Amino acid sequence: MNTYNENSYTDLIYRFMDGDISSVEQNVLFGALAKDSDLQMEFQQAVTIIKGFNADKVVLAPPPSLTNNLFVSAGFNPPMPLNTVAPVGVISRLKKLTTPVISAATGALVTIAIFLGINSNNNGIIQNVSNQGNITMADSKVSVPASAIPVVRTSESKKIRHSSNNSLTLVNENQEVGFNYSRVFSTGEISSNFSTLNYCKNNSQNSTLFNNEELSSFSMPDFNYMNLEVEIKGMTGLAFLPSRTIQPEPWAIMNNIGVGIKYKFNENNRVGIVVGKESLQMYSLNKSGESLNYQYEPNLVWAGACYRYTGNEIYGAVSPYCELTGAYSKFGPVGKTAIGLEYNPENIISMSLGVEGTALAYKFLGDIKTTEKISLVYNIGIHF
Amino acid sequence: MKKDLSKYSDKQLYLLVKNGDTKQKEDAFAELYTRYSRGIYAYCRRILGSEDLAEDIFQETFLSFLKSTEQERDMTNVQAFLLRIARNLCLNMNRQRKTKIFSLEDFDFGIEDNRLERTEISKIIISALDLLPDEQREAVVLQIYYDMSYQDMADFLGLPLSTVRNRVTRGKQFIRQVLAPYFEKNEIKI
Repeated sequence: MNTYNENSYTDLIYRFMDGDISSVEQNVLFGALAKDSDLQMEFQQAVTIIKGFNADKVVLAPPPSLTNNLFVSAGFNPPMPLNTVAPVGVISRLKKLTTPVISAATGALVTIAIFLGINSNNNGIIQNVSNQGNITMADSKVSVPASAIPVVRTSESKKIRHSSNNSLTLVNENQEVGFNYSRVFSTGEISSNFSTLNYCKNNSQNSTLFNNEELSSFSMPDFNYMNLEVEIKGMTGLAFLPSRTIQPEPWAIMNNIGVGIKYKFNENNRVGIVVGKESLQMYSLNKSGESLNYQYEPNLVWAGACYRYTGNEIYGAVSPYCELTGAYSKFGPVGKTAIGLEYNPENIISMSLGVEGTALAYKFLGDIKTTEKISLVYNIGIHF
Repeated sequence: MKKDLSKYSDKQLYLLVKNGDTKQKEDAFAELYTRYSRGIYAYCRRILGSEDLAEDIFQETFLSFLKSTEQERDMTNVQAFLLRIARNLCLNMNRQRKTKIFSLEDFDFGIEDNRLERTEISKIIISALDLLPDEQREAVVLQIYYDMSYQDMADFLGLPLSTVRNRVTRGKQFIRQVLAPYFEKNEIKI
């Protein structure tokens, strides 16, 4: 009968892993493992080493530049010429754009639909009523009942301004908050039996004309009343630091997008809160905890505050902007800086395109590590 | 129409490289390269340690292989032939290099290789691999990176099976002993 000492068991461990062990030796090894905690630890460590080697083996491959050099040296065409490598990268990047672009486009469509819905709602009210009201609409030449007109929440300080070009504007104290109604109303077409408007016409501008009841008979929604912007944004990673060649970014639902709500102090300054989900490259332990990986973490959800400064228009409705974001994720603090251009054509919808730098600091195995990313960002916002 | 060379045997591909026209030669060489470049590259990297040296030797291996097709030769095992070229070049390179005496103080856990991703543990293990005596390191590399069985290694190295097995086992044991403090510190378990 064979006897086994400590070294023999160690040999058996490695031979077992190499598949070079008989069933008798395997039984001997398992029997020893069941009783000896040190041997168990040695076994665990041996498994870890083999897994580490295998992980290295998977990624160890000649780099494309070396392959190209070799083929050129051999007098052959390089299999991966540089002018074909780039388009592959471009296509790959374009593929990555799909989800965030769809997300942003969906947000834009919803935004536009809401906007158009509100407008069509107003028009619908105007166009579908019968001649029983007391305001004549210039465009449609139909009268509407007072109850059918949308109501603006107002106070006694709301006023009607009757301008020289026959338009009416709702004003709030000394600040205009309403709309120019010239497209809709004109004094010549306003029914004479609408005494309230006649009263407006015959009095000085900006005087208080209506009590709430009177004002409720002609009013419109006030979009800019709250100075809020709701935005959705997409983020597409262009570069990651530290730079590593790793497995491609896994697909994850609703990834690389963010939503936020901002308060507009004035034309230049906005602050708000944002929530996002995106991929960053990070160290992680695998499920069993015995090996380390450096890979994409697709479920990095962060939330925080942001500040956007928008400069003056430089071309048409296009303005430069910069944005700072401070957020926190389950892994650690996240900081973002973005610069780009904002297009704000109607003061209701704005779109922006820029470049954003993101940095995450996280703790891993007792060390503070950082990971950075440069992204293309594109926002669509609706202003309320 | 381009032939699917992946179905060709190594020997057929070798004959195409040797006797085919330029296009056939190139395609056949590319197919052989696809099959064995990873293994040869891994062998060079892990035997030599240095990335730059490994790339030089890797390139030289395949260029020597191409040159060998100009000679009359009965090719029976292309994979072993390529590995033998790489091995001889690595041995020569190691002889030319000054012998480096490793100590545990040389053991650098922070070795960075930005071009190749690997796990933290892999990097540490590779560092430990560099500490092995040449014979043990080669045995471990051939087994791990070249998927050689003990018998294949014994045939390739011209050594008894027991010697090869002993080298592999001792090499892995040595790596585990070197890494034991790291494992204990980080409490890494399966």
